[in-house]
Amino acid sequence: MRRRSLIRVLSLLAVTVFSLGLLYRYLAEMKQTVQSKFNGRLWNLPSKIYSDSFLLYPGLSLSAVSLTQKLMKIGYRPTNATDPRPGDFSYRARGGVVEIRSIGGRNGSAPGSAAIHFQSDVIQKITGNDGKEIGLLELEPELISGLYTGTWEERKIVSLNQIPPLLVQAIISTEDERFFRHRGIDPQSLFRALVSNVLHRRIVQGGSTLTQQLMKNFFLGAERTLKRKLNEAVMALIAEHLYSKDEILTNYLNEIYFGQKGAQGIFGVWEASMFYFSKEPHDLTLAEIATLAGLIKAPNYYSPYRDADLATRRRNMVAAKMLNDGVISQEQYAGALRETLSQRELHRQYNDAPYFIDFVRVELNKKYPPEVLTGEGLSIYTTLDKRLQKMAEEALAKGLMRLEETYPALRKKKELERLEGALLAIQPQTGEIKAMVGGIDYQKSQFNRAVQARRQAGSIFKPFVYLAALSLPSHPFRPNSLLDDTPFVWNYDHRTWKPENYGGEYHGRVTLRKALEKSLNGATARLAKEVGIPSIVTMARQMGITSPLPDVPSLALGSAEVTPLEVATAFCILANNGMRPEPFFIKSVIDAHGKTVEMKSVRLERVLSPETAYVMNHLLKGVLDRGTAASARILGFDRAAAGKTGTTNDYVDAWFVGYTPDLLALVWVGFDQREALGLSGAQAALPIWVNFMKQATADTPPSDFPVPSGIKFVLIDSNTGALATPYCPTVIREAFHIGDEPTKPCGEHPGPGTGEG
Amino acid sequence: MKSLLLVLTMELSLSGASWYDKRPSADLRAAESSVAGGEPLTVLINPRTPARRAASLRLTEEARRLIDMGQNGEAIQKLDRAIPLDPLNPYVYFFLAWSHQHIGNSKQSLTFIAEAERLFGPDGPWLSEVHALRGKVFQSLGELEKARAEYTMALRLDPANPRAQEGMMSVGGPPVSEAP
Repeated sequence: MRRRSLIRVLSLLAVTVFSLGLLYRYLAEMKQTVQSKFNGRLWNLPSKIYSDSFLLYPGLSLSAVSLTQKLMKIGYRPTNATDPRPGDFSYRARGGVVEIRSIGGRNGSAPGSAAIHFQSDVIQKITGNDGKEIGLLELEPELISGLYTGTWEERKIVSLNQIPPLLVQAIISTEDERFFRHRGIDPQSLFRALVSNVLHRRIVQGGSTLTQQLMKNFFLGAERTLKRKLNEAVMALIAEHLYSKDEILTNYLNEIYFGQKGAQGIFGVWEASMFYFSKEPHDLTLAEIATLAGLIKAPNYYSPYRDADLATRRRNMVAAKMLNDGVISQEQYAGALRETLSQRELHRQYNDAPYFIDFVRVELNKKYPPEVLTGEGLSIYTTLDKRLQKMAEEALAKGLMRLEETYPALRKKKELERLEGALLAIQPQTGEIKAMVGGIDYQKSQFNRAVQARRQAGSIFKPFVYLAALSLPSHPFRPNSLLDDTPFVWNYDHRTWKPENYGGEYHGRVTLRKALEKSLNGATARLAKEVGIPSIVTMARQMGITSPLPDVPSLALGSAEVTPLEVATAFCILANNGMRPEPFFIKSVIDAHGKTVEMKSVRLERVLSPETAYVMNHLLKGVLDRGTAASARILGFDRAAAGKTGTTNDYVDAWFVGYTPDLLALVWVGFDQREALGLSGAQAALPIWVNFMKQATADTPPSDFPVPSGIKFVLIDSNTGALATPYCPTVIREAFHIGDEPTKPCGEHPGPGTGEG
Repeated sequence: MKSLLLVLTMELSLSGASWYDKRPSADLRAAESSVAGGEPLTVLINPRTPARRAASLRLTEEARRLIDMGQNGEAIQKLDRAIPLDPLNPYVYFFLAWSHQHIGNSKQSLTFIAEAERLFGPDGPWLSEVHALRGKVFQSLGELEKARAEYTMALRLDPANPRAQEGMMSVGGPPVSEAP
């Protein structure tokens, strides 16, 4: 009997010791978990990628409506208030004035005020708040995307003293009124919640303290199980034991979820303040504070973006609670209720330039470890122009659709075999990539054809042949040089190459200009033989072509495979008067503390003399005015522009690269599986280019390529290339290096020669 | 590059001047050692100045002030913005050359100097400064003969150019009074 009792006691003791051991281990684990979170990096701060900023200045073509749309996209909100707050703007249609109170705050910039005066969709003047005229105004860049792991949690971490006490009190009053009186869990609150839930026969009240909510968000999921609730309570007790109320509160205010902006989750009071009211917490009104505090319960349900009336009712409840708790006076309460909470339009954050972002990401991955990119809150400022990017995407999508509709053979049943394309837009003077579309549908194919596709160049390569010819010492070839466009055989390395013109038609004796404008294979091949393939390769390399270039005659007609980016970069040299810009797309990288980590600037290198570049531009303008791209004029693109069509001899690839002095764009169209399109560059790529360029250049004043001092214009007979006489039937105004111009009058149409300086 | 900026720039100066043909009365010569001193480039803006050209000049002037404060990186960013607004603005390239020289990027500085020289033209009023700056770049590269030649050219165009005088002295060239 006694022995049995002893065994029972010992067993009980063993179970107790074992249980205590388990409990100890459990508590130790919980403690370590809490400590490791509080002492380590609390949050991963995603890096953010921004577009280029936007410059406003007097004389800029821009409508007031376009400006207000842009302002809303970058977080400004319209108001009619007489006392605008940071982030407000107002538009007085009658006077044509948009008044802005800048947001300020980020990276230490101070808010300022400006009024933009419009007249007929042009900025007439900009004035500061003192009424004095301002020369330039730079608007904030637009957020394009974030670099994050899992979910995109958008937050800016702030300390407790950066949050207005009233906001803190409002949140405590709403979420955990006894926060400063409990030790992590609040039995009184739990009991009240229990009673309420039993009475309602469903869960209507949580009873969790702020500390418990924080523990749940930090470590635990949203599942409603007893185990989770137990862990939450234990962790809350541990946290309160280890850390001060202020530390817990600060973490809570930075952690709490405040809703969704597209792919972006809005976390923490600072981010919420910016998202809902476009202002920093210190600038919030009492009504706005109450609105924010009321959101925590169900952010997407009570969102002012979703339902302003519902948000107002919730706000009023919070304000009433604050009044009841003695946080605010009756007068403050009445004032808060009077404030109108207007419904705002939500500009969701989507990745508008997925191929570009991928391109940026690849570059960043070379320099920064993934955990830095997704966790340290870098701000990455790029060269992207969101307006041009949108135009580029639409132009390519519409263009490819139109091709599929017009030519049913191009329609493919399999999605991954669909007609594809790419469009690149570069600012030639700086090398800044302004728009990049790498394919028709990023969701279906992430292969970025703008930079990764290596395709046969076709005729788009010919300008390198002509440039090599024009750059030979003593200038044996000039725009008026005569070339034979007749069937031609080139024997080399015991092999024979016989280039043929498109359509099998030959033109006999033609000027160099006509051979290039009409993209004549026979004449170009003969010219290439005169110049020599090594010189052509050297020229292509100088122009920035880095792809392998086979040392064979067919190179002259574009047998080499190149990427759209390298072709576009090469033609930038011509658009930029002979200076090669180094293409770039990341302008700067700023860390979370506002310190510049990386800054990129314009890099230029002179590759061609301004005169040679000009002569080439003058020739390539003829491609659009009279040559293979003449349909650009029929399609309504009437600005001064130069360009070149590209068609491969098996009609697999269609290209067009063209440029004004301000913008260069390249379009490629083809199938990934290298199936024949059966269309030329002028048929497939040029209409897309025209559609894009017409919109992209619409707001800039027309300009022409600047004429360098070493250029002389002479009227020549367009057939004989000689100095024109009054009797020549077709005359062209040709550009020459001074001293290269013809002096003998046209022999076929005798008469006195004419020239002009 | 800074986010969320409203850059309020200098007030408009609408004194009459034709484009690039007016030598600012307080140009570099009068500015002694301060490249950003003196009358602003905005004096070149008049009511007929095209909008983009005016904006380019204003940005250039802002950059010039940043250079004067030793903020060459920020100045370069401003000037980079000014290029596409008016690629024919020689002052942009001049001050880009100046900034790149100060941050030790001599190769890029020489490229910009050449472009500034081309755009100023053979009789450009700032040509003496262009040569003095090129001399400084050559000097920093240790190419003293080339530097001396550039300083000589600068002094020939403007014997009172303080930067050319100083440069010439530092490369052991002839005293200023004997300069051609």
